Amino acid sequence: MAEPKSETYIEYVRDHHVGLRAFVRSLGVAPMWVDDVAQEAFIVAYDRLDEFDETRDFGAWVRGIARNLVINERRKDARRKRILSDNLTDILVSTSSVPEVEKEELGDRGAAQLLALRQCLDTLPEKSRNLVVSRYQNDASAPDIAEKLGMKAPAVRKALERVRVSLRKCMEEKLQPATPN
Amino acid sequence: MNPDERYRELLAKLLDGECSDVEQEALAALCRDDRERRENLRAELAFAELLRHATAESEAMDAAEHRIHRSVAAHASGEAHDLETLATRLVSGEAADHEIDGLIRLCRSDDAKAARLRELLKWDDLLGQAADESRSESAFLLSLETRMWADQEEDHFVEATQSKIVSLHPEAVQPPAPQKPAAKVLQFPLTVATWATAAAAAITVGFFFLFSGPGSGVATIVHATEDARWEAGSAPESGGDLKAGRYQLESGVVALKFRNGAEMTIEGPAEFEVGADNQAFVHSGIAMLDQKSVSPAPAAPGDSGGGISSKSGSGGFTLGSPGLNLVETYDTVGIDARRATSTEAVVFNGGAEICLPTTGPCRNLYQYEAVRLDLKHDKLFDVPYNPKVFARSWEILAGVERNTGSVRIELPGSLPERDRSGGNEVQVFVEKDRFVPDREIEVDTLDPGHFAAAGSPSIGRPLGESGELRSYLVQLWPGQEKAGAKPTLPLEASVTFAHEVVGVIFSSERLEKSDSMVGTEVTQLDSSLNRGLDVSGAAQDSILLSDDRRTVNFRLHSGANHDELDHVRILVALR
Repeated sequence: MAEPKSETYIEYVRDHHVGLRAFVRSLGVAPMWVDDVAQEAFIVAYDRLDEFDETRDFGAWVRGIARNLVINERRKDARRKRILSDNLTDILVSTSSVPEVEKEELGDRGAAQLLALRQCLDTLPEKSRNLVVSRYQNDASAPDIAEKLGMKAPAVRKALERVRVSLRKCMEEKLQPATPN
Repeated sequence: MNPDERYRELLAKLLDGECSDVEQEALAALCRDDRERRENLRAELAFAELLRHATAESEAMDAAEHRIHRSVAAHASGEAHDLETLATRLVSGEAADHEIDGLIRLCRSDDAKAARLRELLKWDDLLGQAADESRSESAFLLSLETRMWADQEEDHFVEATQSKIVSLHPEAVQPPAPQKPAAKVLQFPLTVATWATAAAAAITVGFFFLFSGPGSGVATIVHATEDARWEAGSAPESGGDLKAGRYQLESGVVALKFRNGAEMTIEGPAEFEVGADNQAFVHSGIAMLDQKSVSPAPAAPGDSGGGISSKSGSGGFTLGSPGLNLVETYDTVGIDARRATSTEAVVFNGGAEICLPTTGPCRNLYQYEAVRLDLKHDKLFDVPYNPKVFARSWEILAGVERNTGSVRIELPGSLPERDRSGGNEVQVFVEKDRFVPDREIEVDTLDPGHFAAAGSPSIGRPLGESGELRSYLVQLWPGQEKAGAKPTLPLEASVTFAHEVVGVIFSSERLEKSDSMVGTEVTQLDSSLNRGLDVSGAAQDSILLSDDRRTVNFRLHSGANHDELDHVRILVALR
């Protein structure tokens, strides 16, 4: 017996939300609206699930939907736009790969990347971790973080940049396939 | 005041946006029979509109001019315009318009740079997902669930999501467990004496009930969770009185009672101000305001429900936050001001008027609606009602505390049939608040300190005069056992109510009889379900009420039969 549509769909969402959210952000959507747009894409996809060809990649399909939603943002009046800049989104959308190819660029490795990144975050020294939490969890700006931690804003920016680089390196190392001895 | 003077006064008010409805009527009356005044009014309004346009255009022109100047100046001064620097400014939310323009120029001329920028943005979002708990998978799915619910209503997607979340992230669905002393882990059954002692301990240790009464301050702390800590030098006076001023709560949740009876919870880390005249301002943190007790009034005879509360409390309380104010609030509203870039306002019951101090306009917000203000761009958006972030505050306002066992205090808007937990936890719903029954309610007999068990004949009794009541529905959804499988162990749980329990209903027949009066839409359940306590083979459901009539202990079997639903209705007196 075929699995109910909703049961299958939950699995789709769980498999693809990390990558989809990152994809949405990469098209210039303002950080606070990334999840909102991604959810909208999942809702549209759910409504149109009958149109989805199961032999194709769901991730690419829902990214295509998200891409259209982002394009539509340009048509909204300024007060309702969820993107950072019309022109920036224009460039990012037009130069991005078509959804079918996007898999290679952005991949559906989102969940694995996220898991690796969380592990890397756990290994950070407390001060670096505080910086990341202030920036990403509390949405604090460099000057705000500087004031709280008794630093100068440029120093905070530099420190954050260093942490980002080290986290990325750590994540990529964790995702490297194990080489046989 | 002669009519001309009155006309000029009202016209001035109109042009300043301060003319009330009554005054507008008066102005209209003054103009109705006076052509000169009518023409003058038209001319003044036309000029005001012209002024508004001119100002807006001038601002826009200034902004555009400034942007061009800034771009040119940036080029001339050799300011950083490499992709990495500008992209870092963008992802950290610090890029100015001319820097975004710089990025656009770079990306337009080189696709590889655009790809690099997308990669950096994607990476930054991944970091956000990893570091920010509010962006976790469970939070994302729960929010999506609410939107699907709003869009699809009866769609099974909601149930599927819920059960998946329960099985994958039980910690995400359940509100954070309060720190419980070891003494509260009770074994069932208890002797009466042990139970009485344990119940007393539960009340004393779980919350500090500081009923110090109104003092010199504008509000008094009535509850504080165990982990409540104030910033040094920013704590209320000993005794829990808060004078008008600014306070910083480092952690935990406190509930404040204002002089007009409004109750407000603040969840730390938070910084807030309280003022005389029913005002509070939340600079950061989570706040929930409940005004149902402000104008307590019995339900009108024949008003048998349909809403969560039978009488709205309206204290005209103003709850301010960065960028938006909730005015003319009634019943229960909330503010989530944890982030520097956005503020959310939610209406749980009742309504409020949302006003943006910077741009002026106000709009109404009603039950189960939410808005989010983008503080950077001063944009107000409707967002899905998703009350999970207020779970801890709601536990206090709901007047029921979890002691032992797997218990979830359901948030406003949760419905029993929708939130089935598969027999893994006891759910507590606030059904109907502040009502006086308009006819007699028959409750089951449950003497404090004595067990009531399913299977034994339950003798009913009339509830009698108990003043204002609140009803709770305690539910254990049927389990998912397969035929022939070993019966699961009973689920034991204990909850303590802030008010005295005056009636308990656990027989199927009396539950159904009382539904129309004390239940609300909460109890619109499938009629084929067998409610109340039941007997499942040798296993019997049972409940115990403590001597002080505040704590109820449950031992419930989720049962193998999917139609066996455990329901217990608890009535507390709000006197």
